[in-house]
Amino acid sequence: MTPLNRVARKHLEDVLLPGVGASIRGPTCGAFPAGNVGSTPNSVQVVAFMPGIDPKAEAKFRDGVLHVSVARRFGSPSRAIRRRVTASESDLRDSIELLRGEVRSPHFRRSCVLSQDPDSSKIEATLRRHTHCRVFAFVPMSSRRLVFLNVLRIGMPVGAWTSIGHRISGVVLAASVPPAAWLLDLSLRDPAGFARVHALLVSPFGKAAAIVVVWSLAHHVLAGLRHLASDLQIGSSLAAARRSAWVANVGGAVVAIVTAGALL
Amino acid sequence: MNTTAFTGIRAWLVQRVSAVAILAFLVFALASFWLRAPAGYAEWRSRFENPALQVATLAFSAALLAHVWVGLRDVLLDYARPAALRRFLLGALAAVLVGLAVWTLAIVLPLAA
Repeated sequence: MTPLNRVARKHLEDVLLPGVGASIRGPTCGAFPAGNVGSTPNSVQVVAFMPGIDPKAEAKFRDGVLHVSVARRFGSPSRAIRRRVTASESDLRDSIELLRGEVRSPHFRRSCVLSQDPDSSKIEATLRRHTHCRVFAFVPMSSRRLVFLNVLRIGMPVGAWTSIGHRISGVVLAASVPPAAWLLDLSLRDPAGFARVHALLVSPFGKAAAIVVVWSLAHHVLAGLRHLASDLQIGSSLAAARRSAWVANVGGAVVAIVTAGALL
Repeated sequence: MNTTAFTGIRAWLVQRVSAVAILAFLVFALASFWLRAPAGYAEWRSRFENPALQVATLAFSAALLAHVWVGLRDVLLDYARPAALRRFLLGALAAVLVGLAVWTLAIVLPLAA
């Protein structure tokens, strides 16, 4: 849930469901009007189910203000007005304040100042089966969506390093399977093959490869044990998960350093 | 080989079970090396003439190849685009793993004869 969505839900709770916590599963029976809040990457959607609307709805965007108007009739079966506006936190709070005064009036009007200009050509009010009024105001994707994927500048939590290390070490280990099979084959073939394997393993290249493989194995095993524990719901609290992530990261490095010290 | 083999909950289970099997074999192998490193070819070969070790080696390689399949499949699904390239790489991976399984059999079975 986005922060904006959380704020919206909190305010809606005050207006629509006095004394009752709003939830994604919908409001309590009998609350008026029923309502909910949803969000997409580029909009927040406020849904209010109200008794009866005229099959006519208008939406205009002028001078930075979104105007929405829908006429409502009492006495008809339960109908829905669905408003979908893209709004900042304060926009949303204002519009929900307005909703407070409107829930029992025959007309549903909304003027909402948007902090970002929507695409004027994409504001539309539509009625479906004379029951659902939907007003959309789209804000171009790029203006709301968080696009910040410079991995060098994203602050990675310790568990993220464990995770990417698990993946990298897994790929390294998978890549080392064919050479390992070849070494096993060669070493079991005849004494000359065995000697050749031995010579390869004690060569500088063999030692360097061994250190990389040992780090990969140590990290992969430690991080993998962490996964298995997590499957059993052991150490799932944030503090415990961070501790075990440190153990995996540091443990893998220590094993690699000790191996390097022993080999070189 | 069908590239959707071992998917979903079955992949999860295969990954876990094979991980435990691999770890058990590695602990055993490291411990046996630690206790007595093979002095030469004759001793190394005589170890592998033990049927128990042959069975364990085959079981280990089966677990390892299944584990590699699930793990690398996850990696390819995450990074390999477009879909045609991904399908090709998954197929190539499956072929390599089947080849490795055959190779392992070719290494171990002559020892049993």
